[in-house]
Amino acid sequence: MPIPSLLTLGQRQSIPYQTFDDLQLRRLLDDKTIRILSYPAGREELLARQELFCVLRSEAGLSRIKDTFSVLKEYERAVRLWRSTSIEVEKRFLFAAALMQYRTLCKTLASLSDCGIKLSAAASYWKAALEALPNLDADLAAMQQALSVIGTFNLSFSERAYMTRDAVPETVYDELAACAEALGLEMSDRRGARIRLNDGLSHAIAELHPEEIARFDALTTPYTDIAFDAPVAYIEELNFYFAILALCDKADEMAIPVCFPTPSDKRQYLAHNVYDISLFLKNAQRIVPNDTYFSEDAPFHFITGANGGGKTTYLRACGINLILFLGGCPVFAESASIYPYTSVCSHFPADERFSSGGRLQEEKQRVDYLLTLCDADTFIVFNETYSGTDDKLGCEMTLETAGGIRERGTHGLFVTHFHEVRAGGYPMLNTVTEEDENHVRTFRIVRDLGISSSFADDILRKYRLDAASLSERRGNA
Amino acid sequence: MKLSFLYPDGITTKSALNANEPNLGRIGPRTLYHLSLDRTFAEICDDDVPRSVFLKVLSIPSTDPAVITYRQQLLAALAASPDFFAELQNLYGRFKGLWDSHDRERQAMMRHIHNSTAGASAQTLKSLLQANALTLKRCLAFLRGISDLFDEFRVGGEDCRSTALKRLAREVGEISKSAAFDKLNALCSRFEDMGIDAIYDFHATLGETGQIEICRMIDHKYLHITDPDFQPRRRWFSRRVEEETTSDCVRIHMIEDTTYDKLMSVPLQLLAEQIDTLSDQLFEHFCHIADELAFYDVALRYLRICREKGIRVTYPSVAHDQDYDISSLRDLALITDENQKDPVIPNNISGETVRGMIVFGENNSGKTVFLRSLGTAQLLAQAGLPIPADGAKMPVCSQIMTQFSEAEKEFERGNDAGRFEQEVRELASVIDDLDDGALILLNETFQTTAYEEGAEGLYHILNYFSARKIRFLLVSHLHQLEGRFDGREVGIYRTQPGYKVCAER
Repeated sequence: MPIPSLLTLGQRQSIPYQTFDDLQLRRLLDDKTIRILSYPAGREELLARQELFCVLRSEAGLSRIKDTFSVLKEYERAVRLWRSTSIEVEKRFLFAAALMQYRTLCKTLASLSDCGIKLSAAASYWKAALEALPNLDADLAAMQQALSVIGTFNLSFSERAYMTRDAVPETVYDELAACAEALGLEMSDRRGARIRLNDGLSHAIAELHPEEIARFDALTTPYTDIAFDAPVAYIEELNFYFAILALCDKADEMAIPVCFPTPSDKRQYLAHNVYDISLFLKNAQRIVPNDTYFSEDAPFHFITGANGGGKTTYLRACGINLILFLGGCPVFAESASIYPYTSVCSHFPADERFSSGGRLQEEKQRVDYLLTLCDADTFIVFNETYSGTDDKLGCEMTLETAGGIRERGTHGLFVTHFHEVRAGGYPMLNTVTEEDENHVRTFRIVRDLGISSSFADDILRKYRLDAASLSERRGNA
Repeated sequence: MKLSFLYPDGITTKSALNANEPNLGRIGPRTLYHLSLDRTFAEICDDDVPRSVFLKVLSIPSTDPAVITYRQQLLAALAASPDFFAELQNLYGRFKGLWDSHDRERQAMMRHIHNSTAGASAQTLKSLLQANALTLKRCLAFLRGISDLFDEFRVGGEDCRSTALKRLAREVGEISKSAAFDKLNALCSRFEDMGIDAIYDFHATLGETGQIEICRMIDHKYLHITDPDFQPRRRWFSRRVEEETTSDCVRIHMIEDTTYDKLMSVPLQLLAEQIDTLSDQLFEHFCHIADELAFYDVALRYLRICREKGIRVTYPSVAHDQDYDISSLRDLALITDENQKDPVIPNNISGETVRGMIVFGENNSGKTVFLRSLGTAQLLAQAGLPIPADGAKMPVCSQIMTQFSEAEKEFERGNDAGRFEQEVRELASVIDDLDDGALILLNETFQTTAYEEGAEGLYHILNYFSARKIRFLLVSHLHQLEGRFDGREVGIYRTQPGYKVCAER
């Protein structure tokens, strides 16, 4: 019977790594975590992971699981050391150490029966595993006793080297310590470096203690078939949870809400105050949240508006939090109800290599390929696609792509500067700017009919490239 | 806690001279200079080393009457036994020399060990152990020597009035007359005697991971080596040799040099380090006194000069009512000045309840000498030293600060102010740092501007001092200040012919 996993991967790796790149998730999370997230979990697994995350988000739960993780790490180290040695006496000591860690690990895991479905299953399994070894405690004690005899000896070096098992009532060090104590002086707590045995010493020990070695070996017989490597898999699985928790901790520092979305039966992605956590990478002091509006009635949106107004940020907020939800993770929003889409795709501008048809052609080919991956359970995001051509053609191609998406029933978002896409009758989102002459960006995104200015002049003026500034430059030239 | 001749509770910091002990007062950055104490004690002691120690102690005046009494008792006892002091100082000088050379050798050895890519060899560590054992032996010998000195001069006994001497005598006596002292000495000798052909025996214990965690040197007498084909040349660390036939001994084969060297090195290094730790503790506990003796050395020279010049000195008592009562106070700078041919005129400061004093007088009438004599007396008293006076009762001040009118520092780096502004800035800096219970000595302050304005400014500052219970002594020509204080707040003093300074009634 396989050990119960804390992280069962989904059937299909349906979120391309390119999407993680586009959304900056590869810079927020390690490769192993990204790989796990690239397999959407499916409804049942997703709920089980959410439950475990809930436990981890509580102080007491986190403390228990971190303790378990420490035990796992110690166990993994003990097993690794045991496997790696070829020195006979050392191998026996390390086996006993690994077996002792195994016992500790079984007990620790067995105590987690109240920590959600996943850990409860693991707890039952490891409780049974421990019960299957009824003499373990007594045997370990007997092993320790044998090792304490084996591990005590004397060395004598002159022209030749000898090992003896004489009882030594007092070492020179003890004499020194006794003098120090009588004079009110303190010895330092240094113990001296450890020294590894070599084969010569190991053989001598075995020769010196043949009965104890035989006794120890007899005690280990019932335990040699244990699958010692199996529990080590939990380390990687828990690392996934800890990686996501680290993001939550950062969010907590910034008072950003964290929630567990309800998996929806309807195809929708409705979230209130969702945050783009990729802005952590910029050490942003304040992140403006927005709402998402994807439903069966409005499955696909165009978003237009001011440069620097928050369109791409909004896109990343939608994409990142969706991927986290599909991985059974908490998301960075006040609340959310999300359909468990089966895949997430993205199209961002890239430094494409021209083959025969030029950049636009390459872009089109990539879009066409993505469309072949899309169905009604897919969520797709586009960022400034077709910006490498003139307005008219770009707008036409954008609408053509949107048409393809509509045909497939795919949900998604398209960031564009082609304001004419409004004519396509798709739901529109807009950035909100202040209505003063400076058009200050609020980074809020709202549903609207679309506006016709990108307020590019603000940015040009800031860098003295607006008309007045250029005129002034001319005058100064 | 390290034994100290300056602090009855011992010291916790590396040295009493950079101590951050409790109940220490502070002085201004130029107070010793303003009071000419650097010059005065250069006349008393021309050796820079003890003089710098002495001035350092003066610069951290104690506010604890127990500390002051502790030093007073010790100085009086040392003054009464000059030969004992000379021997003690000599012994301690060599004791300190041992510490310094041990430190240097240890650093050199550590550098050598760290620079060895494969770590120190067993041979190197054996040398380290022998060197450290020798140092510990010599350290123990010094302690016995100090103990013998107390016995020889019959100092530090029950009738001794100095707590410091009694404590040192008791502690070195307890150590050097104990059985453990002799045993430790003998153990060090055995380490010293380790020859190149020694047999090394160890007791080893494997830890949980099957590595040797404890490897300690043992006496060969505990081992029963059975090898009829082989008889070792010599047994080190052996007091009893018994060869018996037993099945509990095996010969070790295939032990390569690195393992062998490591097995030897670890216990040797551990012993060397532990012995070093013991020496360090003895040095740390006892040896700081070597530096502190320099303070008493200069103090005894000061007493000798006063005695030679017929100047009476007195150990001030602490004025718990916070009043000064000093009779016939003389200026030490004038006493030690070889060019001063005339008798130094004493002055009295007594019975005053006021916290502030302003001294007016003609030029060269003794105002500044009066101020300096009070400041010097305050510093000497809080260092636990006698003052050149017939009798004295003095308060303890949390700080002793000075602000003297000085030459303009126009060309000093960073100074962009005129003389008055410079003065104001300096005074502001002093005031920013003032604690309640401080004493501030002001010499011709604010006379670098229109006197009316200077007086007006100073008046408010002096009032501020009064309000904060900060004592002050101002020497001034600013007569505009006269009449602005009533007698309860500030006492007015005037110089009289013959360098006398008298309170105005």
